[in-house]
Amino acid sequence: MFDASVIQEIKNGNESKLTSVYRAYRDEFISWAIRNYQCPEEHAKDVYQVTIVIFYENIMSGKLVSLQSSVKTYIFGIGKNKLLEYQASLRKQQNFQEAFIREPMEEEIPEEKEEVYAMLEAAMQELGEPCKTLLQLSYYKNYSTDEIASALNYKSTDSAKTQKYKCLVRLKKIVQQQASPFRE
Amino acid sequence: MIENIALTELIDKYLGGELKPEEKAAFEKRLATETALSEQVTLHRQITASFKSSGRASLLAMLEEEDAKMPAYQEVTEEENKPEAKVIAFNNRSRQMYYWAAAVILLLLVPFIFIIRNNTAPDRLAGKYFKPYGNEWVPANGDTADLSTKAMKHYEEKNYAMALSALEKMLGSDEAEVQFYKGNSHLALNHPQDAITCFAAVLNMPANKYTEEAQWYLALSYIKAEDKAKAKDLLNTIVEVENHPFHKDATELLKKL
Repeated sequence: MFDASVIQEIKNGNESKLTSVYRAYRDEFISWAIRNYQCPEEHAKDVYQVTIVIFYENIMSGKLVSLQSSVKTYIFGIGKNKLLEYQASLRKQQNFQEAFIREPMEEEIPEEKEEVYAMLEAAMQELGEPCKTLLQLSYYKNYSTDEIASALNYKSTDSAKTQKYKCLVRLKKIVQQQASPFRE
Repeated sequence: MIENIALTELIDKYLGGELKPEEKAAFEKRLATETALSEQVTLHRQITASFKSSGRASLLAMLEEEDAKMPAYQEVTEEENKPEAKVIAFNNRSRQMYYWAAAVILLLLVPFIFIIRNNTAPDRLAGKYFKPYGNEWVPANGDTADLSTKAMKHYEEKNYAMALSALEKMLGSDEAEVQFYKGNSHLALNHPQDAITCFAAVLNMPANKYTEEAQWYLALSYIKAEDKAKAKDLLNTIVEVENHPFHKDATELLKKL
């Protein structure tokens, strides 16, 4: 596995590279977590999956462009921090993966959580395609409008830009139609 | 609408931390006075956060799905992880003690070595001889050419589960190739029973490019499935054919079974 090309290919949207990375180090990571962090196998797998997601996010956000070390060393580096967080989550009796999924929302919506989460999730469901994918590419995968245009076959960057705007307006409308704590 | 698009872009840049200090200050000044804008930004912030959360959830689901296709977890020992052994310096006295200790351990191990030699785990033995067959598939032109190219790309990248799912879609065309590479993928994923079905299917077809190869891989699958008798029968068939491509390997393996 050539580390530099792995990063570039994942960045270019080749998700099978990410699953190859996942496969390559899973057993080694789990064994290491069990040995050094007394983490049960099933939980070690959860932590490993979260680690791979962070690896992916770092590539997509441009935080990870090239590596001084190998992909493996980098992943185990992230994993070490996550295993420590996992141990802390045990004390708080939290589900580690669920807490990880909700982390971005927790940062933005400190109060009235459950109600707001439920409403946003419902609004996203109602939004439908292609808006959901388009906004996902933009806000999770950090695609530029150029990249969105090419990934979703829009004629030009401008039409991708317009489409993104329309999707956002639509989503905001759905959210606002619901009884909204946002407007308080 | 153009103005609204520009405003959306401005909010995106503000939330993404991409504004220059003076632009950021000017925008924040507007936020302090324009309630509607401030509400827009709050909603925008919450929406982007929920996309981040849902992105994480779908990526985790994808990894879990991939995990389900993989062989069960197998422990990797610390020794297997270490590329190089540590070099330890001994003085003469401790070196002598070390030799004595090593001799004693070796003597204690002799009976076990014999036991291990006589009971080599068949699974491990098959694993030692198994190398997924190289990609020699020249796809015929037609509707399925794309599919086979895609499948074999996964195969070459050792992404056997993905290769399998692409190959599954191809049944009905290039039967021998599909079954042969499906068998190899199953064997690589440690699914010997499925591999047996595939290689047996190749052998049931009229003689083709993969007939001899399928005999060898079927024998390995039987070993993995702990069916020594059938494995031996097949290996004997291979050994009888002087110019069989796996003649040498089969002769060697037969002695170890």
